Amino acid sequence: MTTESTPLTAGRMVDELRKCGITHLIWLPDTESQIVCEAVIGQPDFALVPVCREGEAIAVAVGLMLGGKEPVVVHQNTGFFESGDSVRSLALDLHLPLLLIIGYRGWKHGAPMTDSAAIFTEPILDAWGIKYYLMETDEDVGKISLGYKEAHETQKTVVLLLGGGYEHLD
Amino acid sequence: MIDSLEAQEVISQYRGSAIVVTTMSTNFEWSQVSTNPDMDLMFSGAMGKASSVGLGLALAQPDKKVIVLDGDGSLLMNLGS
Repeated sequence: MTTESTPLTAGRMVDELRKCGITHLIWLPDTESQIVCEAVIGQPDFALVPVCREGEAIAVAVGLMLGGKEPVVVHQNTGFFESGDSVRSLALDLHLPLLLIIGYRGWKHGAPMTDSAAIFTEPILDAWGIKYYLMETDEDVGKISLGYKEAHETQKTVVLLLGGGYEHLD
Repeated sequence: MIDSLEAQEVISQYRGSAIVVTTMSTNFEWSQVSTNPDMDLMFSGAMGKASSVGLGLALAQPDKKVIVLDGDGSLLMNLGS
Protein backbone atom coordinates (compact mmCIF):
# COMPACT_ATOMS: atom_id res chain seq x y z
CA MET A 1 0.00 0.00 0.00
CA THR A 2 1.41 3.39 -0.93
CA THR A 3 0.83 6.47 1.13
CA GLU A 4 -1.49 7.82 -1.60
CA SER A 5 -3.75 4.77 -1.54
CA THR A 6 -7.06 4.84 0.27
CA PRO A 7 -7.41 2.17 2.93
CA LEU A 8 -10.23 -0.29 2.40
CA THR A 9 -13.52 1.33 3.26
CA ALA A 10 -16.57 -0.60 4.33
CA GLY A 11 -18.93 1.36 2.08
CA ARG A 12 -16.98 0.51 -1.07
CA MET A 13 -16.83 -3.15 -0.13
CA VAL A 14 -20.54 -3.30 0.60
CA ASP A 15 -21.30 -1.64 -2.75
CA GLU A 16 -19.21 -4.27 -4.50
CA LEU A 17 -20.93 -7.09 -2.62
CA ARG A 18 -24.25 -5.59 -3.67
CA LYS A 19 -23.12 -5.56 -7.31
CA CYS A 20 -22.44 -9.29 -7.05
CA GLY A 21 -25.93 -9.94 -5.75
CA ILE A 22 -24.76 -11.15 -2.36
CA THR A 23 -27.79 -11.82 -0.16
CA HIS A 24 -26.31 -13.03 3.14
CA LEU A 25 -23.16 -12.35 5.14
CA ILE A 26 -22.32 -15.22 7.47
CA TRP A 27 -20.12 -13.65 10.06
CA LEU A 28 -18.08 -14.51 13.09
CA PRO A 29 -16.88 -11.20 14.51
CA ASP A 30 -13.19 -10.34 14.25
CA THR A 31 -11.08 -7.21 14.24
CA GLU A 32 -10.24 -7.09 10.55
CA SER A 33 -13.65 -7.73 9.07
CA GLN A 34 -16.03 -6.19 11.57
CA ILE A 35 -16.28 -2.95 9.61
CA VAL A 36 -17.79 -4.76 6.64
CA CYS A 37 -20.42 -6.57 8.62
CA GLU A 38 -21.31 -3.59 10.77
CA ALA A 39 -21.83 -1.63 7.56
CA VAL A 40 -24.55 -3.99 6.35
CA ILE A 41 -26.53 -3.97 9.59
CA GLY A 42 -29.93 -2.47 8.86
CA GLN A 43 -29.53 -2.60 5.10
CA PRO A 44 -32.61 -4.32 3.67
CA ASP A 45 -30.85 -6.06 0.81
CA PHE A 46 -28.44 -7.95 3.07
CA ALA A 47 -29.09 -10.43 5.84
CA LEU A 48 -26.40 -10.79 8.47
CA VAL A 49 -26.15 -14.26 9.99
CA PRO A 50 -23.98 -14.34 13.10
CA VAL A 51 -22.50 -17.71 14.03
CA CYS A 52 -20.61 -19.19 16.98
CA ARG A 53 -17.94 -21.09 15.07
CA GLU A 54 -16.27 -20.72 11.69
CA GLY A 55 -16.91 -24.32 10.65
CA GLU A 56 -20.58 -23.64 11.26
CA ALA A 57 -20.38 -20.55 9.03
CA ILE A 58 -19.29 -22.62 6.04
CA ALA A 59 -22.11 -25.14 6.53
CA VAL A 60 -24.74 -22.39 6.91
CA ALA A 61 -23.45 -20.80 3.70
CA VAL A 62 -23.70 -24.14 1.91
CA GLY A 63 -27.30 -24.50 3.06
CA LEU A 64 -28.04 -21.01 1.77
CA MET A 65 -26.43 -21.76 -1.58
CA LEU A 66 -28.39 -25.01 -1.93
CA GLY A 67 -31.49 -22.96 -1.14
CA GLY A 68 -30.76 -20.56 -3.99
CA LYS A 69 -29.15 -17.64 -2.15
CA GLU A 70 -25.80 -15.92 -2.62
CA PRO A 71 -23.95 -15.89 0.69
CA VAL A 72 -20.45 -14.77 1.54
CA VAL A 73 -18.61 -15.97 4.63
CA VAL A 74 -16.60 -13.45 6.63
CA HIS A 75 -14.14 -14.45 9.32
CA GLN A 76 -10.47 -14.34 10.32
CA ASN A 77 -7.57 -16.49 9.09
CA THR A 78 -7.46 -18.16 12.49
CA GLY A 79 -11.10 -19.09 11.94
CA PHE A 80 -10.34 -20.37 8.49
CA PHE A 81 -8.03 -22.90 10.08
CA GLU A 82 -10.83 -23.91 12.43
CA SER A 83 -13.25 -24.31 9.53
CA GLY A 84 -10.99 -26.62 7.55
CA ASP A 85 -13.12 -29.73 7.73
CA SER A 86 -16.24 -27.86 6.65
CA VAL A 87 -14.39 -26.29 3.72
CA ARG A 88 -13.13 -29.73 2.73
CA SER A 89 -16.26 -31.80 3.17
CA LEU A 90 -18.80 -29.29 1.91
CA ALA A 91 -17.42 -26.47 -0.23
CA LEU A 92 -14.60 -28.37 -1.95
CA ASP A 93 -16.12 -31.85 -2.16
CA LEU A 94 -19.45 -30.52 -3.44
CA HIS A 95 -17.75 -28.06 -5.85
CA LEU A 96 -19.70 -25.09 -4.58
CA PRO A 97 -18.79 -21.49 -5.48
CA LEU A 98 -18.09 -20.33 -1.96
CA LEU A 99 -16.72 -16.81 -1.57
CA LEU A 100 -14.79 -16.29 1.66
CA ILE A 101 -13.61 -12.95 3.00
CA ILE A 102 -10.84 -13.59 5.48
CA GLY A 103 -9.28 -11.09 7.84
CA TYR A 104 -5.54 -11.50 7.42
CA ARG A 105 -4.42 -11.30 11.04
CA GLY A 106 -0.70 -10.71 11.36
CA TRP A 107 -0.18 -9.43 7.83
CA LYS A 108 1.41 -6.06 7.20
CA HIS A 109 2.49 -4.74 3.83
CA GLY A 110 6.23 -4.97 3.38
CA ALA A 111 6.89 -6.10 6.93
CA PRO A 112 8.10 -9.54 8.00
CA MET A 113 5.37 -11.78 9.35
CA THR A 114 5.87 -12.93 12.91
CA ASP A 115 2.34 -14.14 13.68
CA SER A 116 1.91 -17.81 12.75
CA ALA A 117 -1.68 -17.03 11.75
CA ALA A 118 -0.29 -14.95 8.90
CA ILE A 119 2.69 -17.18 8.18
CA PHE A 120 0.51 -20.23 7.55
CA THR A 121 -2.41 -18.58 5.73
CA GLU A 122 -1.19 -18.50 2.14
CA PRO A 123 0.74 -21.81 2.28
CA ILE A 124 -2.42 -23.54 3.51
CA LEU A 125 -4.57 -21.96 0.80
CA ASP A 126 -1.97 -23.04 -1.77
CA ALA A 127 -1.88 -26.57 -0.37
CA TRP A 128 -5.65 -26.83 -0.63
CA GLY A 129 -5.68 -25.44 -4.16
CA ILE A 130 -7.80 -22.47 -3.17
CA LYS A 131 -7.40 -19.32 -5.26
CA TYR A 132 -7.03 -16.11 -3.26
CA TYR A 133 -6.67 -12.39 -3.76
CA LEU A 134 -5.18 -9.86 -1.38
CA MET A 135 -7.18 -6.70 -0.77
CA GLU A 136 -5.26 -3.78 0.71
CA THR A 137 -6.86 -0.58 -0.52
CA ASP A 138 -10.05 0.70 -2.08
CA GLU A 139 -8.40 0.18 -5.44
CA ASP A 140 -8.72 -3.55 -4.73
CA VAL A 141 -12.48 -3.74 -4.15
CA GLY A 142 -12.96 -4.95 -7.73
CA LYS A 143 -11.39 -8.19 -6.56
CA ILE A 144 -14.68 -8.95 -4.82
CA SER A 145 -16.46 -9.16 -8.18
CA LEU A 146 -13.47 -10.92 -9.70
CA GLY A 147 -13.46 -13.54 -6.96
CA TYR A 148 -17.23 -13.95 -7.10
CA LYS A 149 -17.15 -14.45 -10.86
CA GLU A 150 -14.25 -16.88 -10.65
CA ALA A 151 -15.94 -18.90 -7.91
CA HIS A 152 -19.04 -19.33 -10.05
CA GLU A 153 -17.19 -20.03 -13.27
CA THR A 154 -14.94 -22.64 -11.70
CA GLN A 155 -17.41 -23.92 -9.07
CA LYS A 156 -14.66 -23.58 -6.52
CA THR A 157 -13.98 -21.73 -3.31
CA VAL A 158 -12.27 -18.36 -3.71
CA VAL A 159 -10.78 -16.37 -0.84
CA LEU A 160 -10.36 -12.61 -0.46
CA LEU A 161 -7.73 -11.75 2.13
CA LEU A 162 -8.30 -8.48 3.97
CA GLY A 163 -4.85 -7.05 4.53
CA GLY A 164 -3.52 -3.60 5.14
CA GLY A 165 -5.41 -0.68 6.56
CA TYR A 166 -9.14 -0.25 6.63
CA GLU A 167 -11.43 2.48 7.76
CA HIS A 168 -15.08 2.64 8.60
CA LEU A 169 -15.88 5.32 6.06
CA ASP A 170 -18.67 5.49 3.51
CA MET B 1 -36.20 -46.63 23.66
CA ILE B 2 -37.48 -46.51 20.11
CA ASP B 3 -35.14 -47.87 17.48
CA SER B 4 -33.55 -45.26 15.22
CA LEU B 5 -34.81 -46.82 12.00
CA GLU B 6 -38.28 -47.20 13.44
CA ALA B 7 -38.29 -43.54 14.43
CA GLN B 8 -37.28 -42.51 10.94
CA GLU B 9 -40.09 -44.58 9.45
CA VAL B 10 -42.52 -42.51 11.49
CA ILE B 11 -40.83 -39.25 10.45
CA SER B 12 -41.06 -40.35 6.83
CA GLN B 13 -44.80 -40.86 7.16
CA TYR B 14 -45.30 -37.29 8.34
CA ARG B 15 -42.58 -35.40 6.47
CA GLY B 16 -44.88 -34.18 3.68
CA SER B 17 -42.85 -31.95 1.36
CA ALA B 18 -40.20 -31.14 3.94
CA ILE B 19 -36.53 -31.07 2.97
CA VAL B 20 -34.67 -33.71 4.97
CA VAL B 21 -30.96 -33.28 5.69
CA THR B 22 -29.01 -36.32 6.89
CA THR B 23 -25.42 -37.21 7.62
CA MET B 24 -23.35 -40.20 8.71
CA SER B 25 -25.45 -43.17 9.92
CA THR B 26 -28.75 -41.46 9.23
CA ASN B 27 -27.80 -41.41 5.53
CA PHE B 28 -28.06 -45.18 5.41
CA GLU B 29 -31.16 -45.45 7.54
CA TRP B 30 -33.09 -42.63 5.92
CA SER B 31 -32.40 -43.95 2.43
CA GLN B 32 -34.26 -47.12 3.45
CA VAL B 33 -37.42 -45.32 4.52
CA SER B 34 -37.62 -42.10 2.52
CA THR B 35 -40.41 -41.91 -0.03
CA ASN B 36 -39.41 -38.52 -1.43
CA PRO B 37 -35.68 -38.75 -2.27
CA ASP B 38 -35.83 -35.65 -4.49
CA MET B 39 -36.22 -33.62 -1.32
CA ASP B 40 -33.45 -35.38 0.59
CA LEU B 41 -29.95 -33.98 1.08
CA MET B 42 -27.53 -36.60 2.29
CA PHE B 43 -24.06 -35.49 3.31
CA SER B 44 -21.38 -38.11 3.66
CA GLY B 45 -18.14 -37.30 5.43
CA ALA B 46 -19.63 -34.16 6.91
CA MET B 47 -20.11 -35.14 10.53
CA GLY B 48 -21.49 -32.28 12.59
CA LYS B 49 -22.43 -30.13 9.61
CA ALA B 50 -26.02 -31.20 8.95
CA SER B 51 -27.64 -28.90 11.48
CA SER B 52 -25.84 -25.87 10.06
CA VAL B 53 -26.68 -26.79 6.48
CA GLY B 54 -30.27 -27.20 7.61
CA LEU B 55 -30.18 -23.75 9.19
CA GLY B 56 -28.90 -22.25 5.94
CA LEU B 57 -31.61 -23.99 3.95
CA ALA B 58 -34.28 -22.78 6.35
CA LEU B 59 -32.99 -19.21 6.05
CA ALA B 60 -32.97 -19.48 2.25
CA GLN B 61 -36.38 -21.12 1.98
CA PRO B 62 -38.41 -19.87 4.94
CA ASP B 63 -41.66 -21.24 3.50
CA LYS B 64 -40.34 -24.77 3.44
CA LYS B 65 -40.06 -27.11 6.40
CA VAL B 66 -36.54 -28.44 6.96
CA ILE B 67 -35.87 -31.57 9.02
CA VAL B 68 -32.35 -32.49 10.13
CA LEU B 69 -31.62 -36.08 11.13
CA ASP B 70 -28.41 -35.91 13.12
CA GLY B 71 -26.53 -38.42 15.18
CA ASP B 72 -25.72 -37.82 18.83
CA GLY B 73 -22.03 -37.38 18.06
CA SER B 74 -22.75 -35.03 15.16
CA LEU B 75 -25.03 -32.93 17.33
CA LEU B 76 -22.39 -32.63 20.03
CA MET B 77 -19.86 -31.49 17.45
CA ASN B 78 -21.96 -28.48 16.54
CA LEU B 79 -24.30 -27.44 19.32
CA GLY B 80 -23.94 -23.80 18.28
CA SER B 81 -26.37 -24.24 15.43
